[in-house]
Amino acid sequence: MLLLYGVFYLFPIGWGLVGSFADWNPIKGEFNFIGLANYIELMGDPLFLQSVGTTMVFTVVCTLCTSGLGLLLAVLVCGTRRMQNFFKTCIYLPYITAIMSVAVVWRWIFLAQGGLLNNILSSLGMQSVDWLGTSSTVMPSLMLMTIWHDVGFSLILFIAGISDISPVLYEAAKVDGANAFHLFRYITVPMLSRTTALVVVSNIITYVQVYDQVMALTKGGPGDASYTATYYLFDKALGYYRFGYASATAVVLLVIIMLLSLLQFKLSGDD
Amino acid sequence: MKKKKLSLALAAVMSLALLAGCAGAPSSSVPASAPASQPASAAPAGEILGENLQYDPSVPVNNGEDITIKFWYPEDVKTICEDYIGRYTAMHPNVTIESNVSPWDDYWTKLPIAITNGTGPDMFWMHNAYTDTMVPITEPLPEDVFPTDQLNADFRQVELHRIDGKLYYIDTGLMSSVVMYNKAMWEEAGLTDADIPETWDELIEVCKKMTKTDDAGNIVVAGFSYNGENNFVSLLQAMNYQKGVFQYTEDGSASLYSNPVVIENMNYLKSFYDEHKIGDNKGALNREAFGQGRAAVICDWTWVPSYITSTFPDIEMGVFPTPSFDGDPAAFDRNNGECSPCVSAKATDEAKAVAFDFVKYLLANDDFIRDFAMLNGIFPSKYSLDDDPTIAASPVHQALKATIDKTLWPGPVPSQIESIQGKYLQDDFLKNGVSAEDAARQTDEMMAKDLANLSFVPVERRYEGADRFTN
Repeated sequence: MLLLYGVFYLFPIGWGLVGSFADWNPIKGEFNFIGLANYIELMGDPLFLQSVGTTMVFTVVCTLCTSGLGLLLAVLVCGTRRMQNFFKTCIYLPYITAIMSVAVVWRWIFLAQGGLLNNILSSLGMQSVDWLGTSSTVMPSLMLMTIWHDVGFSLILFIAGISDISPVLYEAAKVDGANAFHLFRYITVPMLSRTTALVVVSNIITYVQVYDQVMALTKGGPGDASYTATYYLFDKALGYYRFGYASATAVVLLVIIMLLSLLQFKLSGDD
Repeated sequence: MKKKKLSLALAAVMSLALLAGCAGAPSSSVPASAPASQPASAAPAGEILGENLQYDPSVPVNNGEDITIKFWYPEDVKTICEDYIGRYTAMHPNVTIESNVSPWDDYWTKLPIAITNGTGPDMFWMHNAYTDTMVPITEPLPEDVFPTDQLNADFRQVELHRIDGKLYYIDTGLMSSVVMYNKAMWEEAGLTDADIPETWDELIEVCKKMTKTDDAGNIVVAGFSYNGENNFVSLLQAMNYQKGVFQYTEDGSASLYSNPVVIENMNYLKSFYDEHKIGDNKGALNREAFGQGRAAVICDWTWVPSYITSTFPDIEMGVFPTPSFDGDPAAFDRNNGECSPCVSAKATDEAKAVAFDFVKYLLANDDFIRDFAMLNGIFPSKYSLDDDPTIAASPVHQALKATIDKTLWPGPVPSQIESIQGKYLQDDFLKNGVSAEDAARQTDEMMAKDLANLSFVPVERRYEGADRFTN
């Protein structure tokens, strides 16, 4: 097992790290060490910096929304006595559907001509919007689809967390006169701090690497309005075959993910 | 603390998986052996094909010993490839050709990597936009199998494809643009054949008559659409060539869009939507909108008519030549060739020999060149088919014939460059509120940066009418 892990995981990762210091084009058979040149070029590329910025906004918004909404829905579902499994299934179902399949459906929802959203706008006598083809709406559209798809993941983890909270705590608080908000604020939220940390870190790791939605719906467009860091990485790797440069991008992303995770742990007070 | 370390380790491993994606080549599935279809009309054994480049089917392949070669191609050409694989293997039953078919984008993602790591095909379908990528892993056409004088005697613009003295492919045919219109909408608007436009201004006027809007002002039928892919850029390039402006510097190190004529053309094209209201940016990809009855007229590559006919059989479509500004342009448009299949440099010598034999069979065979020209709406680059009655009867080819001799090939424009044009010259200008001047300047900057990493050699200035160009 260790051998398999080493061959198929550690070796490629290590090789990628080495390659980030090289002018590496496997198609042309080129592999020449160039020191930090890839990193210097990367830091000077406005498109990379912009794509990191876009990724960060996407990550923050989607992490906050999926985590917050997941927590809220979990509390509501746990408080429901009837059809609890039905609601769990409905909310979790999108998450177990491949994002590429989901993207096909949402492409139709977002269609500028004949799409569901624009049909609704049109029936209200409003001008249609090119959701995926306008720079101001493309990222919010991708975020909306992602939040809808991923909220089930947070929901399930929060439901598991809530089920671990002793009912005695709630009963004692009720005896002391606590209302529903007090129960949520002073018992549920603090008791879910570890679950919340897990959800947030998992979401950060996922969203910093956002790629599928972009590839399926916008290919980074219009212009470069939806270029994310990972899309940038794949474009350089498989569009230009600049594997060394793409590897440097991956290393920088690794550092960003680690810093964000550390920050999250600091903020959540987990030592 | 342990949990924290574990989480961080998990984060590190997951993000480093990105590196794994770069470090290791994607695994290539073992090509499924697609049984070749039976030939519709196999050439009788012994009949020599071709005038100058000749193919003799009676000559045994691989000394008559059994051999299997792998051939990868995109699904667009699946039918014709299977047809001609069937004909070839009927002549040479000792040869088995295993097919692997992929969608276009997937095909170009996995093909170069698969060949590089030794799991790719012996022979593959080629497109000149991938010349820079594929040449290092492609075997040149051997002179003893494809003598230069014979190729030049049979085919147009062979020498334009020579790279460092070597040919890797030649054109089987040339495509350019034509205008397609919905005949029902045309008649509904009271238009007749006499209204077929020869200039862009005339085109705008007829398209105005076919444009329809709803009560909210949304365009429900665009009179004209250039939405999606690089269709705006394609039209812009045509207009630039029509006004005698080259797109690239002679050495291929930069593009030349920061030019008053280009800026003027960009704004003129944009006025189709902004000023004349014959379309808008919200519509679907032009050919899909046309097929769905949401666009009355489009201008696109000549492979599009057959796509529309097969995908939207209910649409009755007319075709006419691409307009110009004054009927006497420096060139009507760019052309682009469809390449002959290529042979992998990583194939064994035996497989290479068989693969080249198959390529020679296709190039010497007028049936293949004609069938492919009809399928893809391309003008055969083979002189022997210049007066072919089947080609001459095709409306698309009639429209194309009116302009093809005044089209020019810019060279094997890399796919990466086309991507930049689409993002900055098109999307930023049309959708992101960037001015024509800024979009052109940014495109030139991005192109210069990327062209430095690509070996693109433009051949625009070898166009016969190059003396009418101003830059």
